Amino acid sequence: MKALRRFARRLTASVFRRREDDRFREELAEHLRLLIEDHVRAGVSFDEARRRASIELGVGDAIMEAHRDEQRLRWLEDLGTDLRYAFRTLRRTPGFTAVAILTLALGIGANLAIFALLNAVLIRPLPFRSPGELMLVHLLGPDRESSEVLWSYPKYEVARDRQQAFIATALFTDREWTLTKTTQPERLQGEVVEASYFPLLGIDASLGRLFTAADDRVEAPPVAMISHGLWQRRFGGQTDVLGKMIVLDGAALTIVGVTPARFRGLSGQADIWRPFKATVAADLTEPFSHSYFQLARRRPGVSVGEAEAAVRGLGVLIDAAFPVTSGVGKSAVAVVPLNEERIDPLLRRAAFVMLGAVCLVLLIACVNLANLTFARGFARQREMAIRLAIGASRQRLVRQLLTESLLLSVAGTAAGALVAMVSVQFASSAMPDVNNLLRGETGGLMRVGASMLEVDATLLIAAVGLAVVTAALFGLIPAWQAGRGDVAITTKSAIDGNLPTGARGLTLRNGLVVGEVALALVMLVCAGLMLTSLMRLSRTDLGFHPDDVVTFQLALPDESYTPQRSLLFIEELLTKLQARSEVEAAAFGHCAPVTGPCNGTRASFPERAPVPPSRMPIVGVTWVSPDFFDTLGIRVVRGRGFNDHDRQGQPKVVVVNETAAKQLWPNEDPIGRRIGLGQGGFRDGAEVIGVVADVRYRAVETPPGPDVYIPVLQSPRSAGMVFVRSRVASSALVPMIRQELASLDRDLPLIDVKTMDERYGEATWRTWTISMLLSIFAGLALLLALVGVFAVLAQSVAQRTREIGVRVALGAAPRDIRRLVWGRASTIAAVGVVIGLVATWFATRWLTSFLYEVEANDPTVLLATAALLFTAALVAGYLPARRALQVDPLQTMRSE
Amino acid sequence: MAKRDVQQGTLALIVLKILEVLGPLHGYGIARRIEQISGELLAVNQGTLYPVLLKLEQEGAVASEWGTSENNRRARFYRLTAAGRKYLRVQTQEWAQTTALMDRFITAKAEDLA
Repeated sequence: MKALRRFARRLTASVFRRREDDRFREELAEHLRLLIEDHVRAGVSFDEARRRASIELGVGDAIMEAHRDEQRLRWLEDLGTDLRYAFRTLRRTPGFTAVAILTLALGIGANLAIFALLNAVLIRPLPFRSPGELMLVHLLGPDRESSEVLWSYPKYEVARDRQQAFIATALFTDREWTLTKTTQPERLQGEVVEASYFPLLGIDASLGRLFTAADDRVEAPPVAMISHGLWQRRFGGQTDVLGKMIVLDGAALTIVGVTPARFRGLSGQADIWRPFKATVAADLTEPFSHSYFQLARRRPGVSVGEAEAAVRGLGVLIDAAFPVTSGVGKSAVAVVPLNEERIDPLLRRAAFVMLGAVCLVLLIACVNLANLTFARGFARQREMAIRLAIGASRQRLVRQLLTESLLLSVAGTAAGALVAMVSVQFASSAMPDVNNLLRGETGGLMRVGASMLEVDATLLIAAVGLAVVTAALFGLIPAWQAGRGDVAITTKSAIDGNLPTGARGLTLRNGLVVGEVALALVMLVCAGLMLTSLMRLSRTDLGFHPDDVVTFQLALPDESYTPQRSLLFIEELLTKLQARSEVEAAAFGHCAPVTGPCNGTRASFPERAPVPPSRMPIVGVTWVSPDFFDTLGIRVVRGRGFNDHDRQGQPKVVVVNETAAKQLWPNEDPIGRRIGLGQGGFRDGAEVIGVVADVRYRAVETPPGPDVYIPVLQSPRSAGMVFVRSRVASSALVPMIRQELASLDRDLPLIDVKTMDERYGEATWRTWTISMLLSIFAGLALLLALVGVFAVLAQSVAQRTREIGVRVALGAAPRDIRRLVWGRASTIAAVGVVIGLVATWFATRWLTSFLYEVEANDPTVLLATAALLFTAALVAGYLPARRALQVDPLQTMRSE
Repeated sequence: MAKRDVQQGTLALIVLKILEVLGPLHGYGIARRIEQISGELLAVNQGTLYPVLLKLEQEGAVASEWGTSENNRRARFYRLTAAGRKYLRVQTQEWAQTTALMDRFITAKAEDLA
């Protein structure tokens, strides 16, 4: 309390520059006078009395100084002085200041932008109550080949009541429904959840109520909760929405509640929620319908390890309750903190690679600035020498220089924040939320997108931290360097105007530039590898022609469409579309190429000896309409494609791809052979009538496996994609498609309309984004490194003007002078490249999981990058070399 | 640093005690009393008294105002405030405890510790 009061007084005295020196001087004078009078009274002469009094009181100036220090906050005033001085100094050299701030703005801006992303997807706690306690409980099926983690309700019941580690659990899954009986049908993303789901997450209804146990019963009246967004969009945000009906796929539900604005469920995209038991009643008694995620909250005080141990024994119980006939393995239960599942692991890795890249850029920027500060340090040697000579302490000088660095880095951070904001804005307009794309095979529950990027305390701390760290990085070494050295020598030579060029300083600066070149090489190689991947990716033969094909999703509700009706509908729709003049071809296919896995099943061969199921080959299965191959431009290699006569009642037929033909019938003509499939009613076998080119279905990067096509006319499907090859601009096609669809069924929404090109873009999104970002960062790194090389060369030419003059006077040819500069440039570049190549060997390992058809140490990329950097360094030496050539020997000699 | 703090703290306590016993005094007066009581021990460098007085004033333990010295000249007089009185009481108590404790250890004999 007392200390605080004193601090406040000293602070105000410092801030308002209040001084009480006069008062104190008067007090001291009076003290002295009284002392003298006392001595005089004791019989001492006046002069002697004054001498003694002075000794007793002490040295006046020292007391004044001590008094002043007590009165005010010394360090604060020093800081103020330093800041004012630093500001003036920086204003005197606007060129240096501008370059420094710009360099920092780019380096820090890139860092902040990437950090904002990292913060959003990895660091910021999940927006639920005590998110650290939330876990996903996975059921690992006996068939370990599939990375299945989903539960069936009966198995969940077995596990739920036999553990003590969790205070609450909830099953949930994401579903899609069509909002019908309205003028504008719409496909809605939603979730089926147990009543415990919302309380478990700590989410409350912003309007109305949550699901109760009474809602979560098989016979309960159907109810739903809707998202804030749907409420605003469909119901105008009116409070009378409660109790209203909403019709999903023909089933009417009563709306009982609205969720908070930002909550979209764990799927990240839900607009509607339905209670578990009432919605999926049929699954409650199906032990092998593995369709649901299990969410759980750990009991307080139970660690992740303890939860793991608690569920370990559950697998045995589950297998005992529901024995697996094929018996290839045992079930197991595992727990994963929800936080670890929030994002696709590959994307997490990509985020760290980006962070590494921007850190390198910032490091190069700092090295560059350290270099510039050095150069300034030499120019200011005289100033420093004089300040040292008149009594400034070295510590004080170092502090002064550091204050300058700090001022620069603060300005740079402010500018960097601006850069980050602008680039994030730009990114969010160029790239909307990409939730669907980022849900990898292994997970990624959260919606990821530009909307998540926001400024919060973590980001601000990161910004301040960056400012301090950069200031330390580029300010410490030059300041330390300036603060040492012999006063006498520096002063003498500085005042003589005979500045020592500082061999030591130049060595250090050369070293810094070499470092910059090495770092730039690492960045360039990484960018080069990614660009090569992108190039190889774009050259990959997809097996079909994506251009001019518009696609949309078809999902016929089971309630109103029997398999036969679905088939009729699909044929009718395709006929209508094909009749339009702007349509070249139209077809149905149950899944689209390059967008993710399609169905897979085991194949059998009726003509061969039977084998156990586990040794049957797995093949991909795709249902298609007759014109599918034509519409997508898939080449028929042998035999024929499907035609309108391959329908129900006719002999069952299939078409296989080239890989299947090669793998399943080696050294044999597959045409006319028979194959049985575990799906689509083709178990008894069908005749192979054709072989088509391989199409990449899973991803552009994934090489095709054996695929089998089934004619949809022989095996009806109610859901899939429609492909329309267009003669006109594909955007003009959409209204026509909407109209044709509505003419057949008013309740069918037009869902997921995209061109195949767009789908291709999404499929290559990750590689594309990483390539572009790394290229931008590598470009920055290259630019910064070249500026560094240029600065060092220019300065060395300036310092060696006299030497060059003498050489020219002694008969050196322009060639020799040029060699002087180029020689240094190429030495720097060569050493930098060699060090960089070594560093690259370590750095590119992080990149391997993103590379496509290129090795991390691809010699072409390495050589090309090294050559580029080397040439660029020589180009950076061009101007300094020209200046060296322009040195007039007469002039230099005269100034001697 | 630590040593200086101790000395400063001790000096502050002495100053407060003198002000409590003798009432308002100017700097010279305080210095004289310290000299009288301590003999030569604190006679050097009377000027060091002033930073201590300033510190006490900033902490609110003493207050100062202009008055007239015995020679009819302007002098700055320091007096104890209510907060200073309380501070002095607490400090004196602590000091007494400390010295009593130290005393016991210093005068301890072998048989006491056995």
